[in-house]
Amino acid sequence: MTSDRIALSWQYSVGREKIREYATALGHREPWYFDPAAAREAGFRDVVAPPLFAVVFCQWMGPAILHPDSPIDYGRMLHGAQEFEFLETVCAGDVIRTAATLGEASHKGSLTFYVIESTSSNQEGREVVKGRWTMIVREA
Amino acid sequence: MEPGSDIPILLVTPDRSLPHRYARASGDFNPIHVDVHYARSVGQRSNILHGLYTMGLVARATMRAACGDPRNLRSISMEFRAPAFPEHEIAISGTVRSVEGEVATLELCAEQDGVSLVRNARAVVATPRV
Repeated sequence: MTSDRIALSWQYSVGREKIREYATALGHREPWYFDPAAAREAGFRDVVAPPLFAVVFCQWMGPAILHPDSPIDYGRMLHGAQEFEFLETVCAGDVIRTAATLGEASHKGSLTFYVIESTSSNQEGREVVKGRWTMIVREA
Repeated sequence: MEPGSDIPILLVTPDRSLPHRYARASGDFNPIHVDVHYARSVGQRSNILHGLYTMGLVARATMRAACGDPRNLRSISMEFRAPAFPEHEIAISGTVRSVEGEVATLELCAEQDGVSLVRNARAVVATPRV
């Protein structure tokens, strides 16, 4: 049985401009990522975020990776793998709370694998995204 | 979406400033993405794109095949196999592997200069009948 090395949570307030900025960087043109009227017409409560906007409200797991108790060497870390399960869409005005847990590392040769599991929920307590973030650090 | 059918290919050439714009959008300013000299000092030939940026392109291509509606993307997963670089074209392609009711599972590829950027890239999408 393993115990979690790190468990913490943080909150993020989703805004229209940040959604627009993120959607633009990804090259999206769909109007519901930019225009509240188009978003409402499509059935969203406000401008909706592209699903991978999860990286923004999850703060790329920065609070866990950079935590004082984190064993992850940020300077030598690479992103190994990623999984997301999307349960509800996220819109401007939502407040998302993300809880992250980092368990024991595993090793394969000179590589150390760290897996962070996350769950994010909105202001109504509805789960919006589950994430599994695999970071790899190679021994010097 | 029929099993065996391909989704339209998405071609993107991130410009030199894209890593910085994506860093600002995502909050991830790891120097390996935005600092050429730092990236070279740790063995890369240039600054490398964020893995989640590539994943975002894969998600965009996948959703485009499902009406572009973010409600249709149920899940996505992949391993990052090789780094991607700005100013070189990335090609995202995919095939519908299976359909069960109104849910399709796709296998996806992301390539740059003949190099596969991802491995085991998969997405599940809802395909409601119009």
